Amino acid sequence: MGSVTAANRRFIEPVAAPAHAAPRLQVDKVSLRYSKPGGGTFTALEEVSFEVPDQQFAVLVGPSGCGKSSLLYLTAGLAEPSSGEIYVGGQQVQGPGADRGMVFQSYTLFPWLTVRQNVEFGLKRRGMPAARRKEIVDHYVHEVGLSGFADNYAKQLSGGMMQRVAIARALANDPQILLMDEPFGALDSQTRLQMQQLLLRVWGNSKKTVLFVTHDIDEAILLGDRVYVMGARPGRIKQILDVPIERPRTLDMVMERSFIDMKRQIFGLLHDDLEESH
Amino acid sequence: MSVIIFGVFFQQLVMIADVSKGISKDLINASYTLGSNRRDAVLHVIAPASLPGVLDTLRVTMGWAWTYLVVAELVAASSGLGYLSLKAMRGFQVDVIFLAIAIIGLLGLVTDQLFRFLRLRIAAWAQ
Repeated sequence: MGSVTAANRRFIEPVAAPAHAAPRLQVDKVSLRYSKPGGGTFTALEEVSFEVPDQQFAVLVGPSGCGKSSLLYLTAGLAEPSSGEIYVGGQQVQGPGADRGMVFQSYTLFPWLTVRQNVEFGLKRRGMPAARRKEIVDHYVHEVGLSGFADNYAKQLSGGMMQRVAIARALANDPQILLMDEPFGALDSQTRLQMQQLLLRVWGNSKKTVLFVTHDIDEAILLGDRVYVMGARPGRIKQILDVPIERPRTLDMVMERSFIDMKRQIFGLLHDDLEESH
Repeated sequence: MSVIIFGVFFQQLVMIADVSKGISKDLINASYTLGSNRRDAVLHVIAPASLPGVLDTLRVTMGWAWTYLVVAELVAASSGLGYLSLKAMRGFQVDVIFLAIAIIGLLGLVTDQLFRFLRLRIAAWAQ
């Protein structure tokens, strides 16, 4: 996919669908409204539409309350939109399924299972034979650098390790799209940098389509092919920006001119929103 | 028997419901995104996640059940430790009364430790 475009092509109208390929993810006029406890309705998402092509690393970035996590839960099928539709691989999302793997912000390892059994969880539900399961599990446990910890339980692992297991567990299912809800939000900054590098490497090998939610601008630019900047009240996509930085990405790229320019631009977009809400 | 069932079952029900309500929603959601259906979620997530809590409530209610048993024997029975101590009271056999009390306490302690051991064995991950 033509994900890394030249700097002068950075501005793309929202919902610019590539004509040549069916998008992996298609979000079509999705709205999400809650009724507020004191009466009235709160609009978390207002007619959000966008598409993510195959093998793209898409990042949703926005202030808290812009509905970026809600969008992820809707795509996963863990919540239902008030109106609009979401399609993954041409199929309308109706409830959760193994074709949409998700990594949560909180640690969601099953604590009664070892690392290996956690990664195996989805494959077992599918009734895959043990030999094939072992092959896949070994591959992904190695991929996230936890070969020496395969038989450990969650309580024996650090936060970063647990999120690595969560990534391996989601990828082992070979999903169509990997949904990541601020997966490194609870980690300290050093571990966070390590995890970003790990994710870049793992993503480079698997080339899965990713929809990644974060509020960290650096993280968005470092990881993403395309950044969807969201605004709050109501939650919507303000601007879609292509990241003009070559892959493979490394951490020192955060000092590059193009990186800083983009950071300033996104910061400006998010800052506008803050002004509006005051 | 029915005294014990009535005395324990309903509290047990509420306590176990409370334990399973305390399971993290994300844990269940994670299992859904890994391909679980409702049955899988109950069998492979909610059940193992509640196991340590359920064993704890069993341990607590076992103590109550034991108390109810002795009380029931005191009130209406023709055998058992409660009945024995009641009979000893009427015959003023203080030594028998104290023996009965000691045995009641000891058996209570043994069953309690049994549950503790059981929890250590089958839910070691939750220690």
